[in-house]
Amino acid sequence: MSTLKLIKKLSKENQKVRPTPSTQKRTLVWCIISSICLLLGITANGLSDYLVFAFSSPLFLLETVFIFSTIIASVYVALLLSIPGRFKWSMTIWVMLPFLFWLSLLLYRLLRAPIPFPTLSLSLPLACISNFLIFGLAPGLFLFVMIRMAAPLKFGITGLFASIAAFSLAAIGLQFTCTAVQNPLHVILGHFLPIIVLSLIGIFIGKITLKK
Amino acid sequence: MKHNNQYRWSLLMTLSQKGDNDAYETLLTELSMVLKSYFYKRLHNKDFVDDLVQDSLLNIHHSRHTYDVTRPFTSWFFAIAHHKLVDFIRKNKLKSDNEQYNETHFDQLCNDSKDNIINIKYDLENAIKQLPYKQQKAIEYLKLKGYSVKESASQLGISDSALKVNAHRAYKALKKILGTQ
Repeated sequence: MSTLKLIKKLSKENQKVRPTPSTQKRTLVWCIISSICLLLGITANGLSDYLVFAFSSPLFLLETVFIFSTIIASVYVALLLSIPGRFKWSMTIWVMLPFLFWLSLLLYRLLRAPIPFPTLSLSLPLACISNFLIFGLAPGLFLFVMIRMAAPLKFGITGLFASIAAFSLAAIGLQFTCTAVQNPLHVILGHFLPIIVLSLIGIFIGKITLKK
Repeated sequence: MKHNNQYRWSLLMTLSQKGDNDAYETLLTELSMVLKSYFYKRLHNKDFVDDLVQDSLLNIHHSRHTYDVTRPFTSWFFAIAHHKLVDFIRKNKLKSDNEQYNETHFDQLCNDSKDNIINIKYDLENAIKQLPYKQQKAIEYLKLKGYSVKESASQLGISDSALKVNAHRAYKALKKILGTQ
C-alpha cells in the first residue's frame, strides 16, 4: 500500500479519541486502586503483632517512607514512559535514590544487629515471597493495563519500573503483616531481594505484554 | 517557523483527536514528508524509508490519544520516529558497509536522539527551503554536497564570485531566519 493510500485509510478510520489523562492524575488513580488492594490484602493476612513496636522505631518508619517514595517515583516514571517523548534517563534517579536509601537503612540495621546474629528461618522468607505475589499481582496487572492503554515505546524499562512500583507496594504490605520485620537479614532476603528479582522479570514481561 | 509548525501540528492533532478527518489527513500528509526526510538522511535507502514512514504513521495513529496539547508536538512526534528507526536498525542489523551502517553510526544515531538536535536540523532544513533558488543551490553544493567553490560554480554554470555572493547572502538570510525564532 502506498503512503498516500495509508494516509487516506487512517484519516477515514479516525474517530474522536479521549486524550490520555495527565500522568499525575493516572498516578493518583493507580495509588488509590492499589491502596484498596493493599488494604484488602492486609485485612486478609492480619496485622503483625510486632507492628506496635515497629511504629515506635524511627528506622522502621524511615524504611516505610523510603519504600513509599520508591512506589510513587516508579509508578510516575512508568506512566511517563507510556507517553512518547516524556521520559528522560535522568528521571531514573527519582526511583534509585529512595530504593538505595532503603537498602542503606537495612544494611545499617544489619550492622547494628545484636550478637549472636539474628537467625534466619528459611521458611519465613519463602512465605514472604509468596505474599509478594498476593500483594503485588493485582496492582501490577492494573498498572500494566494502564500503561498499555497509552503508548509505551521502551517496553523493557517500562516493565521494570512498573514491576518496581507493584512489588514495592507489596513490600509495604509486608511491613504491616510480616512477623519477622525486625530481622534485617530477613527483610533483605525476603522483602528487598524479591523486588529486584521480580522487577528484572518485569523487563521481559514488559517486552512481551506492552508491545502492541 | 519551528513554532509555527509546532503550533500548527499541535492544532491539527487537537482537531484530529476531536474527530476532524480533514485535519488528520493534512497532519499525516505533512508528517509523512517530515518523516521521509528524517529517515532518508539516516538510512540513504528509499525502500527502507517508505516502510518506516508507513510504520511510523501507523504508530502515530495508534498513539494519537497520548498527545498532550500543552506539550511540544515535535518531541512527541520525533520520539515515535526515533523509536521506529532504532527498532528497525536493531531488527535488520544493518551493519554491512554496503548499507552504510556500522556500530559507530548506530551509536551516533542513538546520541542524535535528543529532540533539540532533531529540531535544529529540521529548522535548518526549513530555513534553507525559504531561501531564493540561487542561494539554496549555493548552500546545497558548498555545504551539503561538500563541493569546492570552483566545482560548485562549474556545476551551477555561474562564476566563482557570483557563487560566493549567493553563498554570503544565503548565510546572512539563514542567520536572520533562524535568529528570529
